[in-house]
Amino acid sequence: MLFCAVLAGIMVWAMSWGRCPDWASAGGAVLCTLAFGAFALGHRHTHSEFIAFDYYAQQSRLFRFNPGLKTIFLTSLLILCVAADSALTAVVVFLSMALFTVVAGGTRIRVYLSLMTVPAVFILLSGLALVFDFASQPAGVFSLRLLGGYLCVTPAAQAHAFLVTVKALGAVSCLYALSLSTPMNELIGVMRRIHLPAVVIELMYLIYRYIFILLAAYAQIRAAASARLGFAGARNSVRTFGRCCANLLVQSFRRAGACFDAMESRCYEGKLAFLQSPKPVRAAEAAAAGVFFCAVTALAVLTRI
Amino acid sequence: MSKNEKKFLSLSLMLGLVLGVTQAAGAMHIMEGYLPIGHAVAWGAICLPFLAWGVIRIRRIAANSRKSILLLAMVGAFAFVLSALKIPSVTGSSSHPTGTGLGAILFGAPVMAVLGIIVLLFQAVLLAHGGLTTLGANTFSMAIAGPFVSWGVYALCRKLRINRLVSVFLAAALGDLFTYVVTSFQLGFAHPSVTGGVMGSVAEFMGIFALTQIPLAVIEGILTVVVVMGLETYAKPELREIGYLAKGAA
Repeated sequence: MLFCAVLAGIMVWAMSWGRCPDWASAGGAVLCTLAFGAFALGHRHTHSEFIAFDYYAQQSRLFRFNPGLKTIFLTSLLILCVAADSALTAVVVFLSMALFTVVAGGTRIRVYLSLMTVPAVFILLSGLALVFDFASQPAGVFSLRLLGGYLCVTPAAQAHAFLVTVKALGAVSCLYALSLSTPMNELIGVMRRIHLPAVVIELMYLIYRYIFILLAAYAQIRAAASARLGFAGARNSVRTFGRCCANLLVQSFRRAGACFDAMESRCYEGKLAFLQSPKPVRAAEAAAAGVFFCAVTALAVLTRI
Repeated sequence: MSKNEKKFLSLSLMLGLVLGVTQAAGAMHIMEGYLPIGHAVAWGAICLPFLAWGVIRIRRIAANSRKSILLLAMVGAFAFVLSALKIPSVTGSSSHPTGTGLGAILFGAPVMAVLGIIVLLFQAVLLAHGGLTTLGANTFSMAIAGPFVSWGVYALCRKLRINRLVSVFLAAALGDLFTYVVTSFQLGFAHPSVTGGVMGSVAEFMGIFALTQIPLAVIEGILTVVVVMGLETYAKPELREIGYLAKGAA
């Protein structure tokens, strides 16, 4: 993660070099490196955070709103943010969605920042490939000789990388606004309403549930294997990892069998039905969402002209 | 800067770029917002026939036996969990297996396309890996192109009577490689390089991916073989049930 922090710094520097004073660009890069670095020290890269998503969604004050309304509003905002190709729109979407989640939703800011770091680092790093260009002639504001060609940064590439980066950040903030306010079972419920094939809906419910079962099983398998020194050395690690995966698949097959017996004895006939508390759409909420969407659309149109 | 200093700086930058970008690509997901909206729609449209094929096949499987739908769901969850696990560190960067090659070998590629899009959707919403607008492109590279190559290679190897484990290795490794080739093209089309155009950009992305993806493909191949060996040892009845082993085989 520290390595990522340095790269994120390089990215900020490459993107701003020659566009603002040198001290500002270097300072921004150092600040970015320090911010990510400090976060990396106090934070371990885990994938277990998503287990908590449902929990945060249920805690959110936005939980009581109609899931269909939230889904339509946030996905159309997301698409607008990506389609608009305007940096200003993307920044407005990012800020408003961050505020929406943290202030209106009541998700704690520490939680939000910690969830946001992983995609933010990914986005900044992916931007590196866009901002640097490999050419046979030196070009742009900055070029380095390398392997018979030049690694250069052109103003056009800088602008493009900046636009893509803010667009991606805006889009992720919309996605988080949705997943931090709507639990997965409600989202799948919305997809059932738009008539996705029943068999796909059923698979989604089952897969979602099984992910948690398998993660718990894998944690046990892995702990048992590492207690027996299964991860000592690279050769051992690969072998143990493969065996853990095989064992996990065997266990998952067995569990699927047990699960089927349990469901069949409860009269399962190919349809999973869940009780969902009714959350009617209120006119004021729908109007607010519509007005906000129209305002952002207007902004996008104005900045494009 | 002296010549040596420049060389040093450029080498370190290159190293950073290579390691950083490949790591950022994760399991080769394209991030949310990275594709222009036209591309996003086009890739989604390309996926539709494959998804329809997959849904039809799954419906048929479900009609035959209700239980296999639970098995399919388990495999989908397994693919998600696999993609969230770290392969023991190889080059210092962490990386994740895709696991779709295994699914394609066991269940066939069309089924994997449907399971893949569900898993990618969960990854997008819950892990911010990939995204909603890039769902189509990611589905095409990871859940359609890769598995179909794995499926084809495996079927071809079986026809040629190549050893089963060798076929599994080839199928998984080649499927993995093809996924990254497709991803490079997708990114290249979306972000043509200012100086080199689309192909220049494709070459750039491929060059960056190749350095870590080729060893990773080999490792994914080896892992898949180990998994299949484990399954053949411990789960013969289940393998027979899903039709991977012939019904009569010992």
